[in-house]
Amino acid sequence: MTETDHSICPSCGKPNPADAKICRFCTAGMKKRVSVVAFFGVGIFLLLIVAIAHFSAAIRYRPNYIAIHHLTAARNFDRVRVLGRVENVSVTRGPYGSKKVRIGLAAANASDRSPEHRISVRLEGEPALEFLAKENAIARGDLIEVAASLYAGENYRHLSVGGAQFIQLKEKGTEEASRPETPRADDSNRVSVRELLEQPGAYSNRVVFVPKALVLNVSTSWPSFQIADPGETNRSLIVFGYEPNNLRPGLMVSIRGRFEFYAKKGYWEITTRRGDRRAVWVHKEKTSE
Amino acid sequence: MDSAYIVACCLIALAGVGIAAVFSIIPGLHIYNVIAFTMLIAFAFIDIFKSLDPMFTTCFIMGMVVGFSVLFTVSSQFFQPCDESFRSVMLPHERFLFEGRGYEAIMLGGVGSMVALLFIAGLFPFLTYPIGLLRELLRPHIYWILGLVIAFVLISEWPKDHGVGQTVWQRMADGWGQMGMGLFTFIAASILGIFIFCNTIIPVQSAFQSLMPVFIGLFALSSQIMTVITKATIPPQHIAPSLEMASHDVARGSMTGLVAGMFSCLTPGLTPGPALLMSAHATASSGEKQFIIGGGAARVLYYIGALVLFFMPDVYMRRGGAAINISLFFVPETVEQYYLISGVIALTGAVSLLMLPVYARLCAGITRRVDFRWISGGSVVLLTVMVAAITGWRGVVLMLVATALGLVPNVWHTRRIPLLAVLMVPVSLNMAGVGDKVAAWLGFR
Repeated sequence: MTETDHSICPSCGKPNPADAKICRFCTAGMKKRVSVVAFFGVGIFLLLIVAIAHFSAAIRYRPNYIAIHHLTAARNFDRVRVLGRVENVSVTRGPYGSKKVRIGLAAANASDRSPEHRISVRLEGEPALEFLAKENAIARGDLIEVAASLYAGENYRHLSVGGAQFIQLKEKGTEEASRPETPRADDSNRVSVRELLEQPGAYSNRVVFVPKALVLNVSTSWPSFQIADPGETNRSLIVFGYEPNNLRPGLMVSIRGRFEFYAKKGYWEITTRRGDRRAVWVHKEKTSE
Repeated sequence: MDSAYIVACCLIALAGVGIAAVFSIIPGLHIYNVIAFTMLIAFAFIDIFKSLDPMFTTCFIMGMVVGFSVLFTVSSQFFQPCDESFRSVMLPHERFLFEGRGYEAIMLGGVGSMVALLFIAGLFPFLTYPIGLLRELLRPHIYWILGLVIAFVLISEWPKDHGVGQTVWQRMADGWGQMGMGLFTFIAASILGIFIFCNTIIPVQSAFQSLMPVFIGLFALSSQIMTVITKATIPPQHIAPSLEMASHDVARGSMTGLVAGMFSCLTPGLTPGPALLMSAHATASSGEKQFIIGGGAARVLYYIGALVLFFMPDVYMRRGGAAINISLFFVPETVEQYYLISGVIALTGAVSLLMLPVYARLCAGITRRVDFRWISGGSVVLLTVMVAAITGWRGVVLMLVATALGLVPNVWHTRRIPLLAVLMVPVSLNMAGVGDKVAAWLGFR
């Protein structure tokens, strides 16, 4: 066979008669074929375009932050991304010693301090450990981004950070923002622990302000601690509702909360309002250990 | 996310493709084994590993997976010929090899890979909701779906090479003997699977690779041993400048592969092999070209698609060895990360496809200069050393048992698909909630 009277099968490379439509060795079609370079060239070009589009999307992507006051029961169980400023961070221990983190979060730019502009962020288990292991810890006044699941119902509302969710520091808070607020000077209902325990009926179910009290005990499993008047430690009261991570026995504090009778256990206690930054204020001086 | 970070991720992912290209030349070696080895090295130098951004390591692994899923077919195409006795169970790409069309078979598989890569990178971002929904819908039904796949594997076992005996009894013995060995393989693989799922004998330090010795024994080592002893010769391979395929071959083959790939990446315990067998029936695909294109698409979608589901917002499904290894140090969190990963897949996919013809020419050239038996012999040694290094002597014992079982289909010329019972049966039983009872009945608990 000469060059002109035969053709080479493009599939197996063996010679065939010049007019052959099908290779007599491998049965491959010899006429209708697709160029490897052209076909793969188009595919590779498309893949590169797609790659550029994805990288561009990654750079330009702006998360859809949901305002804290829009986190209502209608969005229950939704995965949400929220931007907010940290009001407080507390770490407590669960009944089996596992650490739990609670972060009080307020709307980033809201001047309104009402409860609907505040929410609690909860971390337990692995996310809590990861959060605590981070060196650049998140503190009061920091602006953070939270991706979490919302749990909201009639009387409750919080964000829970689970696997594949996160807390990211967006902006470190200023020194001024990180300073705890002091109780207002015009606080009414100033009262001591002794006065409360001597006349409980007179203060029952009212918001009271204890300007100076000594911390006796701090609970490791509940958001509660025990206080007494300085020099009068035989009369004590439980303060409930405040995560006492920044407290220890011997510190002097001011307390604001509702004086209530805890019927289940049969004693009086001060219940602080959730998210109230002025509920407990630690005095600078330290009296005794 | 800033552009310098993305560029760094891309470069690291491309390094992963390079590593995959190096290891893909070894027939029988699976990229998950390489990833396992990488993780072992990472854990040995934990301080350095911890100082790295987890996304960099993730992109490196992603690059390896993409590179491997596109390139590894080249070595298995050229370096694993079967001899004449396997005619009846020979797959299309093996026939292509003996016709000097190995290169064309690789490029046809590459067509399927390209379609699957475009599907993953281009369409997956728009399918997050349906995929999440599909996953939730399938979740309670996986056990019986797997049961149906098992039933399909069993009822599709048929006598091959029968009818050559001199007497009726000889012919019947041939037919039933071959079919019986297929069923025996299935039952033995199931028992082995139930054993390793509830009583792993691998040391606890390597527990994250407890299935590795069994898989290497069943699929890699047994086929490499058969390659070492085969009498086959590889004819010179022609580098085809064009492919014989019509548009309907691409469309039907790709559809078959995409269905099989999605089926296998959403169903725990299912691999692309049986999924492709079923989807080929479902989509009525026919012909060798469609089979090869479908195989390429199914494989890429299974390896890469399953890994992408790990990063997909609202799905976060951990499926496959690569996702399990990545989950040891990284939890995907944001949509930006998903875009980055999708971009890395498209980029590394494009580079891998660009490398494919060059790589195929290289391997075709190697077949002319080096006896493929030496390559397979080297692979046997390497795999054994790797299993010993990662899982210790107990892993080697497990691998030898699995190798013996893996040789049964080769010796009796039955299909290898019943070997997948090692995964499908225990997963199906566990999902049905009877895994413990069956294990106790077999004396494993």
